[in-house]
Amino acid sequence: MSSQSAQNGFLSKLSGKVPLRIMIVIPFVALVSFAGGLTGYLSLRNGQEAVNNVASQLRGEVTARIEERVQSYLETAHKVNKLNANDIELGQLNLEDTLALEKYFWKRIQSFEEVTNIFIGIQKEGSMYGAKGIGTDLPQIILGNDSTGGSLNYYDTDTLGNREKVRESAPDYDPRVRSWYKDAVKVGESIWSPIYPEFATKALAITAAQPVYDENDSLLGVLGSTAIFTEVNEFLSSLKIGEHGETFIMERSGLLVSTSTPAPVFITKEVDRDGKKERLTERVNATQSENEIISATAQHLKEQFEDLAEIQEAMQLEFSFKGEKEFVQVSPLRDKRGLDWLVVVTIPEKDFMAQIHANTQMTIWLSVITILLTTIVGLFTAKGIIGPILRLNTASKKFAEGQWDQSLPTNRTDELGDLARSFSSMGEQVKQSFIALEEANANLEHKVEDRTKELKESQAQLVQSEKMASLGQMVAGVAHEINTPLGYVRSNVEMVQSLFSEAENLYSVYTQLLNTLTSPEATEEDINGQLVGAAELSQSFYEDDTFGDAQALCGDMVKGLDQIAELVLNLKDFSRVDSVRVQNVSVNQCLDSVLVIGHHAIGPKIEITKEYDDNVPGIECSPSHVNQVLLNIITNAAQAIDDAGKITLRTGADADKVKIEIEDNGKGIPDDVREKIFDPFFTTKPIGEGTGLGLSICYKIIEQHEGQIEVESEMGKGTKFIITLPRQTEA
Amino acid sequence: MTDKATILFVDDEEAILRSLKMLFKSQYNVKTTTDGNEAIEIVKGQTVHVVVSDQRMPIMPGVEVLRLVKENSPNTMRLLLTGYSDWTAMVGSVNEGEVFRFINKPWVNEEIKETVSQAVEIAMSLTGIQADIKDSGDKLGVLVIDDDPSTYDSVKGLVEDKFSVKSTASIEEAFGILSEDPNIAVVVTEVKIGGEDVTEPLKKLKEIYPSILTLILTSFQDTQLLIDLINQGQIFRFMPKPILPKLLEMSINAAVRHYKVCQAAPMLLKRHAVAKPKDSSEMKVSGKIMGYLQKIRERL
Repeated sequence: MSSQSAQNGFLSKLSGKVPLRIMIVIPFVALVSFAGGLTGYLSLRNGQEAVNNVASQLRGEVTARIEERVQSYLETAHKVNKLNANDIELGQLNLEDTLALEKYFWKRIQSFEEVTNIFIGIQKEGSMYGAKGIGTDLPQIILGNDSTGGSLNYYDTDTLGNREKVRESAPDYDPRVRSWYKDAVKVGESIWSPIYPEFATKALAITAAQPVYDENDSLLGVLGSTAIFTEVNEFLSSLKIGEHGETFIMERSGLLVSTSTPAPVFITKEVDRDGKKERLTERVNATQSENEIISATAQHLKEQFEDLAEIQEAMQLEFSFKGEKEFVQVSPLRDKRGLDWLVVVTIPEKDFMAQIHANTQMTIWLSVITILLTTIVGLFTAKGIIGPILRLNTASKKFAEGQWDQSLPTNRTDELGDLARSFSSMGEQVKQSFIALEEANANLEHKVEDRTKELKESQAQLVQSEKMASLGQMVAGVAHEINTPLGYVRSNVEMVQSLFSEAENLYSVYTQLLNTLTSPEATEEDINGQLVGAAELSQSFYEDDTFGDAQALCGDMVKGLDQIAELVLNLKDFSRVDSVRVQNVSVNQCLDSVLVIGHHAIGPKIEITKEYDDNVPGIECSPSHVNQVLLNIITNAAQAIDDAGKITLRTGADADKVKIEIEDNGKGIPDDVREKIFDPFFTTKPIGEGTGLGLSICYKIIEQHEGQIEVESEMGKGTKFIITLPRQTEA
Repeated sequence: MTDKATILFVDDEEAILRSLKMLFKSQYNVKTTTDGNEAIEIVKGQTVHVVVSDQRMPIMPGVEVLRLVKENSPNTMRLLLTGYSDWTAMVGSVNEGEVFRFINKPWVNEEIKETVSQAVEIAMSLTGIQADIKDSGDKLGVLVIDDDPSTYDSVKGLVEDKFSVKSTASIEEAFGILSEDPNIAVVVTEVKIGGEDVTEPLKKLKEIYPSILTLILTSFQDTQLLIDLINQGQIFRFMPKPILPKLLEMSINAAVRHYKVCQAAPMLLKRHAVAKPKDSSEMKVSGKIMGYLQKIRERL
């Protein structure tokens, strides 16, 4: 499961990067490759196992055959000796009759192909009699006695076995000093001589030697039969051991005895000895063989076993030769007469593997063809499936580029047809939506323009309405401030008016009295009556202190009118709606007139403390705008004070700036609000009660005056606004 | 001189007090003070028939003075003198101070004299009158005049268990209902119905039915409107929209209680005498209403 999920993970990783077409083909190809590979691998492995078995069997069989053959072949030599010994024992062969001996051996040699020489060395005279087989020709007679003068001669023979001429001759020959003779006498029974090269046949030879005794157990001589390895060589060569299999026999010393190859088992050298040319033979060690397989195998054995004598039983080995595996069997070849050799069979693996390799190759080819076919079929299938998808893909890309009209395979009845149809209808919808969107976009631009315009207008309106609001607030305050003096002045004027009519009445009474007094016709009675009336009227004026009242009323009137006049004077700055810059404006005066105008808004319960710098330098500004700012901040400060409180106004200056501080001990501004108080439309008042533009306009005004407005506040302790404006530059 | 009525002027501007004292000293026993607290002490210490207070004063605002005067001497007639109308203060003086008249600065001496003398007359005639509330047993009614149905719903929800609540969206129909149902004690009304200003018919209504108490429930904020409604319409309460249910319920209950007091002592209705409009407003009242009025007059 985990491998499957890992595979899924891998596939899913792969799927976003590799084209769909390949993605569909990959699993088929992978499966086929896997199946093919597995089949190939299994067949190869089974083949190898079979090869190992076969190779092992073959080596065993071959070795067995060689052993059997060599044993039986060599045994013949001893058999011949045995026959000869029997004949001597039975008296059928008289060692004294030399001629009979010649004939006997001449005849005998023709009965046994396996041996080349049959002979006997006589103990008494040191003579030697024998015969030598020369292939299909008549055998030679070997003779060495007094008649040959001590030499050992080889005679050609006629068909009857009579000696003819000497073919070869070895001087001073005494068999009794020969090793085969001595060894046999020493052992007292049949033995093998050491192997020696045979010049005539250019092959190695070995002699079976058997001592012969008379009835008194005294030594008569030693019988010998020489077996030549030519036939063994031929046999080995004739063995079919695979195609390139070879075999060889060697002594424990490593010297070669026989091989299946033409490579020589001994070499002949011409040696100068005492001025005479002499032929010397030297046997070849297996590791030195001309045949590479033999030498390599022997080398391998040498490496495997420190001493070849260690090999006590048949062993199978493998080694690598020229990159090819070689199967090797080495088995001891022994007999009771001291024969102790090694038979080595070596077979290259490739002899067996050729077919298997051919099979494997076939499998590979078949796999490749299958994969190719699968890929091609897969690609075609994928094309069939993906083609329409690719067309959809292309179409959708073109859709994305805005090419709306794409023909799609909508007439198909399968899922792809469904997809194409859905895609077409979706595309149509997208197209419609896009067109609608473009229209909407175009409309939107217009709308945005319109709205921007409206917004600008409404912003201007808002600024205007903020102006009007502060104006309204100001007017309300001023109206109250004016109405109060106006109230009593008006009332007083009315009262003074009525006092005047009373005074007028008094005046007319007195005028009448004067006229009466100066009139010649006036009677005493008239005069008295009028005098009393005038006196009474005067009395009431006096009692009521009418003139005093009138004086007081007039005094209040003057005071009230002065108040109104002051207000109007202060209003002058506020009445300037333009932004004309005026030189030498005193911020102290500005604050004072703001206090007068804002008296109503500030309210009666707030104590104003002035900490003015009387020598504060003038500034160049638009007084109406600066006053608007100050009024706004001071009324805000008043609003921040719930009940009774204090507002402190400070002015001051440094080298290039004039500073105005307006500090209240009201509730303070929370930090989050303080960050936003200069933002347009930010207000803490309920909706409808403020435009939220007041302080943002203040900020703008101070900015336009190249000044700064800052605020410090602590909750529950109060707020301080600090306005700095540049000092007027000396003109 | 003991039979002279006592009037008290409260203002922080001495010149005003001097002027008013000069104006009224020949007719009345005039007291003046710049301090609201002192004014309350004066009212507590002696019979004061009329108090005229300025609104804007540093120690105590006029609204507070009138409220405390009402508390300590309910029969004293209360007038507010104001230089520039402060909306909140004026609404407060209506609802808390149950003000008889607003007087604007600057005033005309003849007018202030007339207003004060009317107040004095009423106060003199009511001296010592105590009303014992007695329940007639009839279920009293509340009439809602508003084209916004939610007002009716609110009133119904608040007082339906105690009073019968009727509703109309037309001022003409309101007069019809009033002429037929004598148990209606309170009218809760908008000032604009169907886009039409109904302040004139409302003033008329108070003139004809002085015992019916008018509660204004409106989203309008106009000081002159309020001044007219007090001076000429003697409204009992003025409430803002959106409706504050608690305030509305308390106001209706207070109005009904006051109605019962006046029923017990009809003399007290004098307190709600309205001023004649300066210009003839008869013309502004529709013919239909005039018809109802005619009918009512006949019945009375």
